[in-house]
Amino acid sequence: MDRRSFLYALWSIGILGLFLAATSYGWSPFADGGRTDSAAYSSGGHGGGHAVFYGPHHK
Amino acid sequence: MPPEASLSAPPAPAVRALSCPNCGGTVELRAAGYTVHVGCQYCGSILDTTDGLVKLVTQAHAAQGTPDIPLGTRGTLFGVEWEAIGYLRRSQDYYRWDEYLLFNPYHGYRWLVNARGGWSFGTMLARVPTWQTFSSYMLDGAAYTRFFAGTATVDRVVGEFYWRVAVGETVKTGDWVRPGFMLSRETSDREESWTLNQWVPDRVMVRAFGVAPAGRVWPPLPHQPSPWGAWLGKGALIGGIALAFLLALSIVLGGTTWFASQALPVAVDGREQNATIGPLHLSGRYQRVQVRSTVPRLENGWVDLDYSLVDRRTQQVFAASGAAERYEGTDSDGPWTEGSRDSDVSIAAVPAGDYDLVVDYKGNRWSENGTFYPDGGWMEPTNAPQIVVEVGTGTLYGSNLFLAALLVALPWVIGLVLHLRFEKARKGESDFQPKPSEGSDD
Repeated sequence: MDRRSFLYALWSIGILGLFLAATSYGWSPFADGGRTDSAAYSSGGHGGGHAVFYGPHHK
Repeated sequence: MPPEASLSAPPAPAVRALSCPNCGGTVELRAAGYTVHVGCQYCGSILDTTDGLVKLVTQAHAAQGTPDIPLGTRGTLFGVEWEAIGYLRRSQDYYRWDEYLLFNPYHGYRWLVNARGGWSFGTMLARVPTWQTFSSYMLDGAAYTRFFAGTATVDRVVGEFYWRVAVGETVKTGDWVRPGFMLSRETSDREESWTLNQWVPDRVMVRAFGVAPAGRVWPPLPHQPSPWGAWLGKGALIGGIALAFLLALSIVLGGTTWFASQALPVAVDGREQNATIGPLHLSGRYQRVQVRSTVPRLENGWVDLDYSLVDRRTQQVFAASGAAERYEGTDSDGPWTEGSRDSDVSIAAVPAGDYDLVVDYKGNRWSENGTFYPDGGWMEPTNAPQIVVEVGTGTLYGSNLFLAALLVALPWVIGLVLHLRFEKARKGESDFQPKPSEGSDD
């Protein structure tokens, strides 16, 4: 196997490894939510802060 | 004709020295017996050596520079040791190139051509390639595409040659190429000859003849193979295997298991509300938690949704937000709808444990004053507006699959782009490259 193919195979294996690791942790950079900085929940919204409400986005 | 068959014993490398009748310089004969004309390296005069005597054919007084490969230099190419015995500089219009005549007593003559720093090894053909179409010839089952045509002129002559070469001599040339090889035809009023030129990598020439590395030849030589072309096939195989693995892993690890569902009433007065769904037991070491909220009667309004997944033991919070919104109406283009009655959000990397899902939500309708729906629209009490919240778990993210596939394919795509760029630059040098059509005047 030439060097270029070897490096490409190595790159592909690395990507597959990262994909497997992300999948095993149920993680994605595109997830809608995740762990908040705040350690505890209190009423009135998530993370102890005030709930954020979003307005309409219609045309 | 130069010898091709092997002889009984290799002759000792003999160099016969002659004296140039014009300048008195010492001219060396390395292929004595085969050489017809010699170019004096000191004054440029052409000497005839056919009958053992040295006769002045063309007198010149121009000092001749040293070629990149000094005559007499030996180097091994394709397993054969060759000696450079002759040097020609030729030109066509403003395009110039150097040709070295190589000699080996067992294998005869070969050519070494240097054009813009790129090297080719030329073998004279004893047969004529098969004419295929207007633009292609066949040789040994391979097709060669037309590339160059013109008239080449000899500008400089140094060393020995097996024909009566002269400065100013012209021949009509034609070249046909395939990756790595070029078929060259030279036609004069006396003969037509064919040569098969094989592209030689720079590093091979540096090792064989000690020439200075030329670096990148750009635009590429007509027959220079793309450095990416051969790899694209292997790269496609490697990338294809990786993508197949990705797909297989996605099939095995994909999917969402829905395990909790609850309907939450929406206050018709539009106030903020709060509900807790739980306990939710998550058994996987880490998982993605999917929360899907459906508002069945939603029309021209929206529902704000905030989720807090709270670990009962540590009170750690995993938060996400979403909104379900849907609108419909009629305009000059006709009826339209926009948005969705569903809101689907994911919460990443949630560890195992027992959780409560706290949902903060608020129903809204489009414009309360001057509304199109003075009766309250979808939040009308008779509609019994509600939200159905479903909770599920899984591990695979579709976005991860997309990103991984993109990253796996990226190097191959870059290779393809570089290959196409190389081929475009290479073909752009051709005399037969289709020109872009010019704009019409009418």
